[in-house]
Amino acid sequence: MASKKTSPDITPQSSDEAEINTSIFDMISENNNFLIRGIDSANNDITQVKGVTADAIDNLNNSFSQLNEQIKQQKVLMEQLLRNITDNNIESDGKMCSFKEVTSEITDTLTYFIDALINISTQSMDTVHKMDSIVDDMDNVFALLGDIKAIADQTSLLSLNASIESARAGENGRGFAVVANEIRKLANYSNDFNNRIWGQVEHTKVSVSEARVMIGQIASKDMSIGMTAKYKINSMIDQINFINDATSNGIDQLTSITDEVNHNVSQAVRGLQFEDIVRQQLETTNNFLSHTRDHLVNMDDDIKIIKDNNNPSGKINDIIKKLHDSRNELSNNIHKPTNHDSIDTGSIELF
Amino acid sequence: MSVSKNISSDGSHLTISIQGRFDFNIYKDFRDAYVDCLKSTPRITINMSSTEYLDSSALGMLLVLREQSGGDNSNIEITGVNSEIKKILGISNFDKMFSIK
Repeated sequence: MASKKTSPDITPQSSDEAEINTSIFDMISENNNFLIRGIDSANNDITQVKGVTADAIDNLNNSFSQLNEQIKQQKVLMEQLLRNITDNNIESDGKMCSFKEVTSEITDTLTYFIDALINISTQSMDTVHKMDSIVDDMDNVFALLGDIKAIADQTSLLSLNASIESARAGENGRGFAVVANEIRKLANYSNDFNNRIWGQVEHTKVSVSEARVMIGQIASKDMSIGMTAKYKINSMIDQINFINDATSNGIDQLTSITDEVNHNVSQAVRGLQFEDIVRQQLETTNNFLSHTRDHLVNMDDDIKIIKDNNNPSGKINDIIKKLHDSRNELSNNIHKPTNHDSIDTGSIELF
Repeated sequence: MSVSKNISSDGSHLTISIQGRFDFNIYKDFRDAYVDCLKSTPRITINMSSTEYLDSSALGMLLVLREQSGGDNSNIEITGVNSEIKKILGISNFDKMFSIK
C-alpha cells in the first residue's frame, strides 16, 4: 500500500506501485506528445498567419503608395486645366492669345465702327446744312436775276418809247432812233444772258438737290445691326464667364476631394501599422509555444529516464524541481507586457 | 407734322417732340424747331415718347444740336425712349452725352 505523501521526497516503491507508476508515466507521455503535436500545428498556423498578413499588408502599402502618387498627378493636371480655362488661351496664327484679348479686340472694333458711323452721320448733317445755305443763296441769285430781268425789260420798253419819240422828231431824230435800237438790242442780250444764268443756277440747284439726297442716304444707316452684334458679343462673353466660373468651381471641388482622398489614404496607411503589433504578438505567442514545447519534450525525456530507471526516487525529485522551475519561467514569459497597446501613437511615413 | 415744339412760360425750357420716324426726312423741321431758340433757352428736352424709329441720321442731328448748344456745357435731355431706341443710344454712348430718361 502506498502512503500518502505531500512532500516531494518519495520512498522506494513496491512492484505494484511500480506498475501503476509506469501506466501513469505512459499516460503522461502520451498526453505530452499529443500536446506537442498540437503546439506544432498551432505554431505552423501562426507562421502562416504571419506570412499571409505580412504579404497582404505589403500589397496594401504598395497600392496606397501608388494611389497617392496618382492622386498627386491628378491634382497637378487639374491645376493645369484650371489655368488653361481661366486664361482661355487660343492659338491663332501661331500666337497664344487669351480669349479675353480676342473678345476685347472684337468689342473695340465694333465700337470703332459704330463711332465712325455716327461721325459720318454727324458730318453729313453739317454738310446738308451747308447745302441748304447754298440753296438759299441760289434763291437769292434767282431774285437778283429777276431784278435784272425787270431792269432789262424796262430798258427795252424805254428804248421802244425812244424809237417812237425819234420817229416823231422826223429827220432830226434819225440818229436817236439808231441809238434807241442799239439799246433795245443790248436789253435783249441782257435778257438772253439772264436766261442762260438762270438755267445754270437752276441746273446747279438740281445737282445740289441730288447731292443732298445722296448725303441723306449716307447719313441714314440703320443702327439695329450694330446693336444686335454688340449685344450678342456681350451675351457670349457672359456665357463664357459663366462656364469659366462653373468649371473653376468644379475644379475647386475636385481639388478638395483629392485632398480628402489623400488624407484618407494616409489614415489607411497608418491603420496598416497594426501589422507591426500583430507580428510582435504572434512572435511572442510563437516563442511561448516553443518554450512550452521544449518544456513538454524535456518532461517526456525525463519520464523515459524514470521509466528505464529502477530506483527513480532521487531522479524524480530532481525532475520535479526542474519541471517546477521550467513552469515558473514559462509563467514569467506570459506576463511580459508588449510595447504597444494601441496603434494611435506615432506618426506614419509613406514610402 | 412729325416735329412739334413747346416753350415753357418763362422761356427757359424748350421741348421738341418727334412723332413716328426720326430720320433724314425731318431734318429741316427739326432744325427749324431749335435754331431761333438756342441763345435764349438753356434747357432742351427731346420728347421721344411717340418716336417709333431712330437711325444714324437722327443721332447725327442730335449731336449737331448738342454742338450748337455748347457741347459739354449743353443741357439736353431725351425722354420717353422705347427699349429699342434705348439700346441704340446705349451702344452709341449717348448716355454719356445726354441725360436719358
